[in-house]
Amino acid sequence: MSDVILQASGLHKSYQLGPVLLRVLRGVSMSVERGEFVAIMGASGSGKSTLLHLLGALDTLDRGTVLFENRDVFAGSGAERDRLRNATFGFVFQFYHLLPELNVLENVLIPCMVAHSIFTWPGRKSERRRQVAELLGRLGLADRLRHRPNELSGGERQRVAIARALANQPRVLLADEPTGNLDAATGGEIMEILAGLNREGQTIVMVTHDSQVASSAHRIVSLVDGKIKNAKA
Amino acid sequence: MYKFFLCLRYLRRRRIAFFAVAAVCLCTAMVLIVVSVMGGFLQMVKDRSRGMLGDLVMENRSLQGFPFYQEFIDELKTSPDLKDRIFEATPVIITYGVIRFPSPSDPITKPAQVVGLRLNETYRVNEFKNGLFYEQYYPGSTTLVEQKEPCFGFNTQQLYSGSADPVERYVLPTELEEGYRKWLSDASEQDKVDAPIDATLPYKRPGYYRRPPEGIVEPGWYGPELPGAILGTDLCADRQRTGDYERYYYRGYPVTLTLVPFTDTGKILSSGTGMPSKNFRYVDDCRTGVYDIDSMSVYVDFTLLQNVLEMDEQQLSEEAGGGTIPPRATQVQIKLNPGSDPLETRDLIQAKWDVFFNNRIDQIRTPGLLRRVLIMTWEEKQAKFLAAVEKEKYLVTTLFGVVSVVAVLLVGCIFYMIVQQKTRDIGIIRSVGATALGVAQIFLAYGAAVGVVGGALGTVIGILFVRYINEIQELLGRIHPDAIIWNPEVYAFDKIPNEVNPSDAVVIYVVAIVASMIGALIASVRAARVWPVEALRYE
Repeated sequence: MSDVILQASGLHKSYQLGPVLLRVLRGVSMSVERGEFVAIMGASGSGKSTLLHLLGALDTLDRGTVLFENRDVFAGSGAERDRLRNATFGFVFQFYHLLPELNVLENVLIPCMVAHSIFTWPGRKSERRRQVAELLGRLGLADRLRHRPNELSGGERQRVAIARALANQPRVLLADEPTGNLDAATGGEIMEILAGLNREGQTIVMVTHDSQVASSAHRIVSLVDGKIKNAKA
Repeated sequence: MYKFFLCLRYLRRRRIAFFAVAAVCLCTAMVLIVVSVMGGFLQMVKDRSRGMLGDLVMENRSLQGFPFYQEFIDELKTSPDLKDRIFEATPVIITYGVIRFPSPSDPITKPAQVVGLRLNETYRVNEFKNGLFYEQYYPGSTTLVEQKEPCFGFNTQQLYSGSADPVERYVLPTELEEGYRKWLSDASEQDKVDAPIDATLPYKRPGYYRRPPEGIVEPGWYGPELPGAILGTDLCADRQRTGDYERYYYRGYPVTLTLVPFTDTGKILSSGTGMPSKNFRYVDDCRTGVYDIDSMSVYVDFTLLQNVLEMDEQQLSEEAGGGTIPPRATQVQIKLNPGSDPLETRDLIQAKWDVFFNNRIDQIRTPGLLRRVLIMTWEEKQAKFLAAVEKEKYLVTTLFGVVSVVAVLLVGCIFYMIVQQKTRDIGIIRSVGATALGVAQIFLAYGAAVGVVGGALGTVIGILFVRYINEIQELLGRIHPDAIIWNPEVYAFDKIPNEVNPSDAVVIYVVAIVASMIGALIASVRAARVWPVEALRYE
């Protein structure tokens, strides 16, 4: 029996762009197995980011289903999807998307704070801080904890973003062009980190348009005009 | 937890938040200052508008007055259902006449409202005593009986003993000196500093006195005996920029009152000699704070005025039908005991009066004088004036309501901008699992925090400003004289009201917080509606 963690079938998604209805996804079906590293490739505008957002319950779909561990992600309420994003999925974006007012440690702690109320947080705070600091240490940021994002290099910022995505030990890490904003060397470091995480068992779905980057993945899914073209094992 | 954390962080790190805090702070301070100063001003106007009135006033709004006033007062004071409610009741005669200041070089004649009162009873019925000038510094020295002019002179005893304190070289008559010493022993240090002692006069005492006649050096009472009259302060003195009065006339200055007597039927009495005139001495002046009263009023003894106006008991001639006309007064002023409800007591007295006058209606030829007598509270008596004051208060409140709306809009604008700037952050927070409601709460809490901080600062600034408002104005006046807004020459009050009502401060503070939250509300709703995928495209 195959161990499918994430299963998308018949996904349709369109956007109203002025008078034009932009049909971004036109019946996409794919699945991700536990511990797998899948790369979604496609040209700009092919709908790969939209697909990633749907897999991670960040956007809503027009038609189709996304099953996470055989549970329909979009059948539940908005609040349930909020919880899924907090506890089950971790997002990494091309432009890092760190909060400029917070330092590195605080940025990474935000998902943990979202998981706790103001009453339960004080009891968990020190434990979570220790875990997060350790995680940042593993990512080579041990001496950067008190720095603000604008004091970090691009590679460092992306490592902070990865740490934030991992803060709540997600089941699936969703990365949207994680190296798209970095030079080749730094991008390579980031890919090594992701590959390392995958070796430790982390399921990863990554969107990229760079075949070099995609080659780190076990499997590449190509998206052309809103449909899956072929799949390479 | 993230809501609280982000809200605090935004407050500390976003400079634009300081503008919101400053806006709330200034609005809070401004509203508090204006509400306190205007409120204080209106309260003072209201208090002063009471003038010479007791708690209740009984009158028939006619210069002829009404009879049986004394019998009714006696009945009130002995009646079992009313005697516990009534502290004092005193008859008053109010009429009009002309006052003449017969200075040889510059005689002045002015219109006057002449008030006949029983001084000791009046002291008990209203605040009249607190408005007296000489009585304040020389307690017990102001009377309406016949008296001579008090003059200052050499302190011979001190002169011969050799202890030469120049301040003590000139003194007033013994009675006044004793009164002054009594005042000195009771007065606070500030009162002593504030006492209006004219440095150019040889005796160092408040007020204006003359030397004795030529050839006499001792202080004492000189000149013919004349009944005392208390003048309205603005009738005989000039208000200075400092708020003090410069008195034109010395204590004991003779003035002449010319009056218009009316019969009980309202005819002007002309008993051959023309209008009755009578000489008085200016013994004191009284300031109620209402210019209309203080620039016109002359207070004399009740019985004396009654006699001059022939409002005392009169024999009717045979052709007029014979019999007597009982003595008349135009008003009865009533002071209630603390805790007595004025409206309830008014109704009780009115009911008593209706029975009282019906029993006597056939004893006089003009029963209408009795029938028209009404008992009013002092507020009812001043209703027209007080209504204007109340309207002013509503106007000011409305204006500041508008100002508050501006503050809310300002906070709204600033928050709208903050949300606009933070759209990407909202997307990020949503992507890590924050709910739409949670995002809205961040900005709502942010608004509340701006209100709490800005409101607190504003309240403190407002309280300090109001407390030191007179000092601030003094300082401004030193920089430029035109900066003096509060000119005591114009206003009846010496100082700008400088008290903050604590409940006002609390209400304004709470409103500031609520207003900031309302201002942040639209922005919060907008933040909650931000679609995370859209927000993350912001770069």
